[in-house]
Amino acid sequence: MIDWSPVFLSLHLALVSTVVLFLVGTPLAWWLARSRSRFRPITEAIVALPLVLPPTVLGFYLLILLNPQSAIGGLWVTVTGGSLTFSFSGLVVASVLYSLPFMVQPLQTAFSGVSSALLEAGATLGASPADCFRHVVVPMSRRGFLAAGVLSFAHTLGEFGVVLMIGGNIPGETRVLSIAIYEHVETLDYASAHTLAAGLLFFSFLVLLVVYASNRRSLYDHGDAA
Amino acid sequence: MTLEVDIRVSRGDFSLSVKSELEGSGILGVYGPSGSGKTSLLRSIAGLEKNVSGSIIFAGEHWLDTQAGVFVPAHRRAVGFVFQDARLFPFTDVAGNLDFADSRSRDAHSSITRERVIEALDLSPLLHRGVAGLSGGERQRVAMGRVLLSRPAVLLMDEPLSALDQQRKTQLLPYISRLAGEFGLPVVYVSHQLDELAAIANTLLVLDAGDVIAQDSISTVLQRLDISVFDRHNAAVSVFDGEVLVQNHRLKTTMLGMGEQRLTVPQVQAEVGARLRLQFAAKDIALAMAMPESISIRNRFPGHVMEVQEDSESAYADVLVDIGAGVLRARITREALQSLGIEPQCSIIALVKSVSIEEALPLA
Repeated sequence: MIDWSPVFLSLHLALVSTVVLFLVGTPLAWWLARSRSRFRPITEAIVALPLVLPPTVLGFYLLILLNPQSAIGGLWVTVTGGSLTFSFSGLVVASVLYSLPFMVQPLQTAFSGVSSALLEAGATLGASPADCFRHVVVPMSRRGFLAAGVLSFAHTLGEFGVVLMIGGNIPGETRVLSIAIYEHVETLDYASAHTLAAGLLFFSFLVLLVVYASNRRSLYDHGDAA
Repeated sequence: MTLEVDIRVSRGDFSLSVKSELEGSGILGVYGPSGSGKTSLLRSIAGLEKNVSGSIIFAGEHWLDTQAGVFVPAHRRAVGFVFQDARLFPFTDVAGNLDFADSRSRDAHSSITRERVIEALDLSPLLHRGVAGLSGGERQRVAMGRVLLSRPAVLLMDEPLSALDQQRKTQLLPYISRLAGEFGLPVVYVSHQLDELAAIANTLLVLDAGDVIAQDSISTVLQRLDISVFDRHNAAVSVFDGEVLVQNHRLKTTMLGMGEQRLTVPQVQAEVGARLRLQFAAKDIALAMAMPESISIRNRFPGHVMEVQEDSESAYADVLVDIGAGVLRARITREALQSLGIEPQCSIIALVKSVSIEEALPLA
């Protein structure tokens, strides 16, 4: 009998992380797309680090940074009573960092493509900067938001190394899909490993298909065949 | 409208300095060659130009006061801006573009309604079309409609016709006069085409190399022989109010009245009694010392010479001729001027080779 709880845990983790990433990544991407600050290159480099670092390196430093004996980890324990290591909350923190480039980069590209000419038009029509963002930038960047959300979600769903380092393998708390597959293989339960692995493969393919299919179709097409 | 502008804009090797009170209703034309600072002036008024210092006061409201540290952001200034490139929102259709402005209207008590705007600019066939499929002229009409629905207190237009061909331009000009007339909106209209401004503006401000060199009623400014930019661009014109008197459907001509003068032109589509703006290019006026007999030019106005100015840098001379109904500006060769002995006070006949006619607000 296969245990489905890792699947639900992974979906839960991916969903929560993606929501947090939208909240953190949108302003960050906007700043990166518009700012001429000298801190921009260094910020871009930090955001992109998870793309090149082995997940174990990221996981290792997070373990050191977030454990209850550290400043941040200790503060978290005092405020919430729980630990950031070997817990679901810790996984969310790790996933947000790990998937940050997958959220920020598509959004940054989309935001850079919104010409300031349209923002000026919005402003002279009486729209405040926040209003312009909501009603000009967001609709202009729909494809960027879709790609960022889908990629962040799918990337979080498949993470392994970081989770292993900081979360371990606690059923219902930190045993996510990829950890469960790893364990099934270790215990030579290939049938269960197959079911989960094939499911993840199919899901990831579907997600990428959605992104690429939506890229093909212009979202600004309003008829007018003529 | 009173708009007091006292600003300096400097960017690299360009600097603009304007101190001027833009007053009155109707259309204020701002003329200047490319790079004279017209667009910077308009963008400063709208709050889009960041490198600006000085003060801008609109109807008692301080939009800019560098000394007091006041800079009202663009979205809180009651200006409408029509850009050279229409800047329509591509993620929605024409109706969606109008809604964007309508829902952010600055003046709840405005007499500008969606229905009137759609009617005045003939937008109803376009409402459900996407922005990408519109022609250049249609785009600018939508942009104008969108701006009107934000109910601005003043309308700024930055060369809105410059991307269009001559035919589309001629089609759009009456719409612009109508905006100013029908909706009672003051318009500041920037262009480097003098004929475009002469067709619609009531007041004219001339910018050259970042300085205001003239500002007065359009007919007065157009008569000034000391404004060399007009001649440098071979653009000098004079303007008159005209009235449709008789339509001759057999010969396809229209007789127009211009004070006591009469002129006959190829048929104009307008009712008898309609008031139109007549524009004469200085280079299309010929001068004769006596009334020529047997000549194909039918529009001949007797008058007397007011002022003559020879341009020693070129082959040409400018001559102002009082024809009773107003002052006509002619540009002839210096050789002709000297051999005919044309000088102030002498009687003369002005021969008009062509005239361009627009629907516009009356000059006075």
